[in-house]
Amino acid sequence: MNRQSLTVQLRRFQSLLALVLMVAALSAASPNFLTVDNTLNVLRQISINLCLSLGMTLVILSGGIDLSVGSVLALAGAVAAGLLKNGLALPSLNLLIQVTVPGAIVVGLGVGMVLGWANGVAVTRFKLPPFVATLGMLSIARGLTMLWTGGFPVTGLGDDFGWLGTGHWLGIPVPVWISVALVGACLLLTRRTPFGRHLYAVGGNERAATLSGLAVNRIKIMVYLLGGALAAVAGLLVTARLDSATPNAGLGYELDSIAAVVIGGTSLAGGRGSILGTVLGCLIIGVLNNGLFLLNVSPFWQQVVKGAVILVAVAADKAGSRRDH
Amino acid sequence: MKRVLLILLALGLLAGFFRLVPLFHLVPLRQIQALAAAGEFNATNAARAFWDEHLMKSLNQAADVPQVLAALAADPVKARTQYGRTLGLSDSTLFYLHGTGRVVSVKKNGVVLALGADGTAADVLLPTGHLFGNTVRDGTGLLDASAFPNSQYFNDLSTELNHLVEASVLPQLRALAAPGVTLTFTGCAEVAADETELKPLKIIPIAVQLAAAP
Repeated sequence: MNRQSLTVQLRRFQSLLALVLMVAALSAASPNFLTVDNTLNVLRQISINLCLSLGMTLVILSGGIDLSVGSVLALAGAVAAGLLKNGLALPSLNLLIQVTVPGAIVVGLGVGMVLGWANGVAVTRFKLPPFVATLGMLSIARGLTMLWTGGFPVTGLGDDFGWLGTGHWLGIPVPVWISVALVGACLLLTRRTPFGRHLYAVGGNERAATLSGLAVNRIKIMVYLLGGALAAVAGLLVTARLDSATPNAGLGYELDSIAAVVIGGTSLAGGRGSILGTVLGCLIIGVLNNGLFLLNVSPFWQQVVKGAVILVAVAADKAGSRRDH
Repeated sequence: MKRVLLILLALGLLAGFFRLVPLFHLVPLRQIQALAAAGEFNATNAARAFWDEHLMKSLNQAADVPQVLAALAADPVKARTQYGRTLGLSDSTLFYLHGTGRVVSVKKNGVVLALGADGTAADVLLPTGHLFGNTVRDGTGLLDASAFPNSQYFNDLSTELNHLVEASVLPQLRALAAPGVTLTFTGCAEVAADETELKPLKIIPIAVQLAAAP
C-alpha cells in the first residue's frame, strides 16, 4: 500500500479510528467505562441524539441545515404528552377525545412532520436561506411549546408510554432498538432508493440536479419533513424516558446533532457524507460526554472539549477536501 | 390503476390496524368532569388526614435528641445513616426527633431549650415564625413521593403540613414557653452535609407539651 492510498484509507476511517482511540484511552483511565451497564447507558443516551442526527444528516446532505430540531423535539413531546394526559376536550360537542399511547405517538410524529414540512416550504417556495427559515421555526416551535404547556412540565404519563423510554427488550434499552431501526431505514433510504441518489445529487450540485430534471423542491421538502419526523421520535423518547414533557426539553440539542453529523464526516456544503459516519459521530460525542463525566471533568470544560473536537473534525474535513482538489 | 389499488390496500391495512389498536376513545365530557371532581387532590384534606391518622400516631417512633446529638458528635456519617434519612440528590439529612428540655430563653424567632431538666446550654431551637421547606413532610419518612401522581401534589401537601404546624403547634408553643419551664417536644430537623455546629439544633415541632413533673 503506497503512502497516498494509506492516507485515503486513514481519512475514510478517521472517525472510527478516533472512536477506537477514545474508547481505549477512557478504558485505561476509568475502570467504570468499559462495563456492560455503562455501555448500555451510553447507547441509551446517544439514541436521542442519533434520531436527531439522522434527520440532520439528510438535511445537510441536501445542502441545508435545520436549527429547529431541538424545539421540534420539545413541541412533539409536549403535544403527545398533553393529549395523553388530558385528552382533547370539545365542549361544544360535550366530548373528550381520550388519546391512547399509539394515538399520542401518531400525533407527536404528525407535529414533527408538519413543522418539518413548513421548514421545507419556507426554504423552497419562499426561498429563505435554511439557516434563517429553521432559526425562525426554532423560535416558533419553542413558543408553541410554552403556550401548549403553560410553561409547566406535563408529568405522570403512565407505564405504557414510559416503556418507550425506559423499557428493555432482550436486555437492550428500547430507545436503542428504535434508533437502530431508524439507522437501518435511513441507510436503505440513502443507499438503495432513487430518493437517496437524488438527495446526494441535489446536495452536490443543485443546479445540475435541476437541469437533470429532478424535482429538487419536492426532494428538499421531503428531507425537512423527514428531519421533523425524526426530531419528533427523539421528542417522544425523551418524554417517555423522563415521564415528563418539559417546555425546555431539547434546548441546544441542534448543536449536538450538527456536531455528530460533522464529526461523522458529512460535509456542511452538502452532497457528501453517510449515515454510518453520523452513527460514529454520535458515538464519539456520547463516549466523550460519558468519559468526561466518569473522569469528573467539570461540565464547563466538557463544553470546551466538545467544541474543540468539532473544530478539529471540521478542520480535518476541510484539509481532506483541499487535498482531493 | 395498480397504484390506486396499492394505495387502497395500504389504507385498508392501516384502517384495520387502527381498529385493533385504537388511537383515541370518545368519552362524554360531563362524565369525565364529574370523575375528575370526585377524585381531585385536596392538599388541605390530605394534610389533615395524614396529620391525624399517621403523624400523631408515629410520635413514639422519633429518636431521642441527646442520643442523636451525641452520635453526630462521635461519628457523623454513621449517625446520619442510623438515625436520619437523605432524599434524592440532596446532601442534607433529615431527622425525626423527640426530647425534653428546659426553656432557656424565648426569642423573636423561636424558643431556646437546654436538654435535660437541669441544663443551661442552648441545645435546641424550636422556631416559632413562618415555616418554609419540606422538613416536616420529609423528616418523618412516613410519606413516599412516588405515591403521588405528580410532584405538585406532593409540594402542596408540604405547604399544608407547614400551615398545620403554624396553626396548631406554634401558638401552643408560644403560650407554654417561658424561661424555666420544661417542655417535651417531637419534631423534625434538617442538617446540611457540611454542618458541624449543631447547637442549637433547629427542630420544627409537630407536638409540644409541658413535661410531666418528675
